[in-house]
Amino acid sequence: MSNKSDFKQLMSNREELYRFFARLFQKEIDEAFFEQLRHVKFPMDREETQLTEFSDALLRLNEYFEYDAGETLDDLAADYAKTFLGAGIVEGHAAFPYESVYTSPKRIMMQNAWNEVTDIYMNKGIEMSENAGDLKADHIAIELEYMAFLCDDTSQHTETLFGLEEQKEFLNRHLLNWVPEFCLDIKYYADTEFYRMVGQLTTGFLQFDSFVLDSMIAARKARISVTRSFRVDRSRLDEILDGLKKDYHIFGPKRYRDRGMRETDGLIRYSEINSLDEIVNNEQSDFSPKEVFYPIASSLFRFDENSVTETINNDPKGIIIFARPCDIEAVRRLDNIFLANGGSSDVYYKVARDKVKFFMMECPQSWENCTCVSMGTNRTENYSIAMRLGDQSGYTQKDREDRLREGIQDGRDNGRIREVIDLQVKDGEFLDLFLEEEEIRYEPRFIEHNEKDLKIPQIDDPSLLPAIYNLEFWQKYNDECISCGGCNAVCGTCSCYETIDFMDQDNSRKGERRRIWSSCMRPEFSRTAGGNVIRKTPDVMMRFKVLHKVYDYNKRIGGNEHMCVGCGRCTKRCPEDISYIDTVNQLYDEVERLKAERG
Amino acid sequence: MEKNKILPQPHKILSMLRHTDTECTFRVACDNEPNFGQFFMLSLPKVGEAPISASGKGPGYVEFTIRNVGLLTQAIFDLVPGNSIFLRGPYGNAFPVDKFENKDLLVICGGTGMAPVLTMLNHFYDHPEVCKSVHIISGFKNIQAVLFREEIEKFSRRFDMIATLDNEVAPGFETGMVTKHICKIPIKSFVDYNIVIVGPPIMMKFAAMECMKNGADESKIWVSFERKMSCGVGKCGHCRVGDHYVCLDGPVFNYTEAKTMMD
Ligand code: SF4
Ligand code: SF4
Ligand code: FES
Repeated sequence: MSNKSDFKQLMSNREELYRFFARLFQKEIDEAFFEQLRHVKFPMDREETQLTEFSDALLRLNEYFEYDAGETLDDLAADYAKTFLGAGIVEGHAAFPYESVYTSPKRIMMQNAWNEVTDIYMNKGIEMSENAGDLKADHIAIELEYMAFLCDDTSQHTETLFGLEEQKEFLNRHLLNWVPEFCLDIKYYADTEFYRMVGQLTTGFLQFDSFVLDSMIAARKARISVTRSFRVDRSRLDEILDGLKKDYHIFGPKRYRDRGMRETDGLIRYSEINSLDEIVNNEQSDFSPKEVFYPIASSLFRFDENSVTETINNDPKGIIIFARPCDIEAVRRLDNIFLANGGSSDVYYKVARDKVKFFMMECPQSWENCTCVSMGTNRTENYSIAMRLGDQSGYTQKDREDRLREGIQDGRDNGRIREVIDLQVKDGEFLDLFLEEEEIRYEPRFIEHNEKDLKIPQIDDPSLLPAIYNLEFWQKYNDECISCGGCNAVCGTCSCYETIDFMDQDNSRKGERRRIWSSCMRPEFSRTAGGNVIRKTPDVMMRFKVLHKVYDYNKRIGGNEHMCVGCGRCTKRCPEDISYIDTVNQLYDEVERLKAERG
Repeated sequence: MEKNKILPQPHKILSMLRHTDTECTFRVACDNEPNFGQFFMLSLPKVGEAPISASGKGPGYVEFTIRNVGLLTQAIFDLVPGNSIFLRGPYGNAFPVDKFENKDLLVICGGTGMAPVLTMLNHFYDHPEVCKSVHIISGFKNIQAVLFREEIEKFSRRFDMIATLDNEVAPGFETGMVTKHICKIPIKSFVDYNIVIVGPPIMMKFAAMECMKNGADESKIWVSFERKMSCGVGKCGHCRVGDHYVCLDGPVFNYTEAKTMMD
């Protein structure tokens, strides 16, 4: 957006469009409105519109006016009455345009959604407009009118970020939560192409507008970076996090005592946290944080036999993840695959990933299987806040003593030693939260030494590869590895997935396509549609995985970075005690041997 | 804003042509025109998605020749014209047809391997001036497995066409694997030429070796890979072979590259 008047123009265009859509659902179409529809200008033409639903709908709209569908205004009026009012058909079989109908368990009018929007309108000081007639507050036309009102409202004020967020919130919570389903119903119940087209157009427009809002908000939020450090009371940081929960989901490594893979004291994995105490800082998590924004299973779209509707993540909140340096670096590997490989982005990944901010936790120690130093992933720059997050047992003895000394220097707080957390803020968005705190000099401390090293095989000449593929040592994995895929599941950089269709009920025509993580250590991974399995046995699967981690990815992406970040989780996880570290180190030795033999 | 590349759209089946008990060509309404050798991701609700190369195209439609071997293909076989299938694409690269101009061309295919080269061969049939000569060796397991009979007859009118059955004798067909017939093609006398090989991995490997034995240069050989694919756009990882992604960098590879690609 180049300047203020452009912004005002955009807001007023959007306002008009919302009013226009509201009118579509308010009452039957008359001559004048029909003509208006013929000439309405949508913000983007087909080329610029990247959302398939919307661009398809626009195409359909053009076609509708280009080829006479033979539908008279009377036909449309009859269809309006039938589709939206259920006129002339058994009750309960129509697309009733009320949010409550779609969001209440009993699917009836005047439920929670109606209460909520009534409150929202009241807080804004608006009366239900005259021409609303007997439409209820959660009627689609009224909700769309309210969006139009917000567009105007936002452009009247200088603090536009708030206004944009308010719009986004209403759009996501009170329109996109039900309108797509409602529009699918229109398709079933409407007799005219006109209203079926209107259904698709409406969903398409709302989805499109949600993206427009997102990008405007993101542009306003991207403020300059800072580097300032503070010392904060642990309890104060908890309060700050509490405040952030309004806008963010906050994730951290959390212990689940009743689960577990092999350890007796449960399983540590990323999930939403309520306070710092829930974060496990003195152990490594069993799973990487990737599941926060790239879940084990997630919906891609809903379908029936003849249509698809993209699943859109409408959650307006951002995501904060408390993560270790190597895990943050791992996300860059995932970004390279999902956002860059092949020159296109995966939209599902992108939508979730764009919301993520990292709060980096210093590692209190290097764990048994860490090789981050070998992989160059012991440090990271990519964080909004970095902190030294001691907890009851997270510090070495020396740390604890240092801290005690500092605590004493700070004086006693009600007779208790202050528990403080040192942190560095780099993301301007969070700076305001700490301005009252004691400013200190603090730089995050990174692990500089691991117990184990990972020796990256130096395959500088690709003509070595056939010999490497044929190395005998791979074969031992046919005896050792049981192809369970656990190593892939815990890895922060394994990104592969496949899709599965789930039907709503066994014999239903409606369902959902989801994607789920998939594992290259399992033979199904390479099974073609014709039933041919390309990699059948653990030796070749292990070779496929290991070479990707320390050779193929790097060869494709370039630079110094390897896919593996040396977190060690795969080694810890393996039920057969196969050490990935030993495998890579042995591969290194074998490669050196091959090179020596060649001379 | 990015386009959602993995969202399919429903497309109507216009007609179906059965070749054999297990093979069938579907004509599907579609305006996205594929290039020679490109593929689409085809799917049916509940059953799943798979890459299928376009075997023909025309105004407003694309054709797919499908072998009834898996769950998905079985389910597709149960459809009738008027039903919809989900489609997205086309994806992947194409045969470098401009490199084939004014040169001799040898196409070797096994089984359904003919499908990905069919649009290209039809193009040369309609434009016989493009290539200096076209030779085809097309192999099938047995007489039941023969595909594209009409095309084979049609092509033999204008091209040097060898159709062969692996180990069966039948009128109109030679007998023996495709590799057995490569020596009949005067590769050594070609001034400049290209060779396209499409079929099961083993067949492609041996056919390429046989061509080289008969004097072909490996850089003149092109192959098309078949791999499991879930996304078709370089994200799901299933089609990866070393540092190559078959869906992005392929499916068509020059043999100099293909020979280094090990699974
Ligand atoms: S391969 Fe193993 S050590 Fe490397 S990032 Fe994945 S889980 Fe961690
Ligand atoms: S290496 Fe270990 S964790 Fe990975 S698949 Fe084999 S047995 Fe499972
Ligand atoms: S098919 Fe998914 S990466 Fe190639």
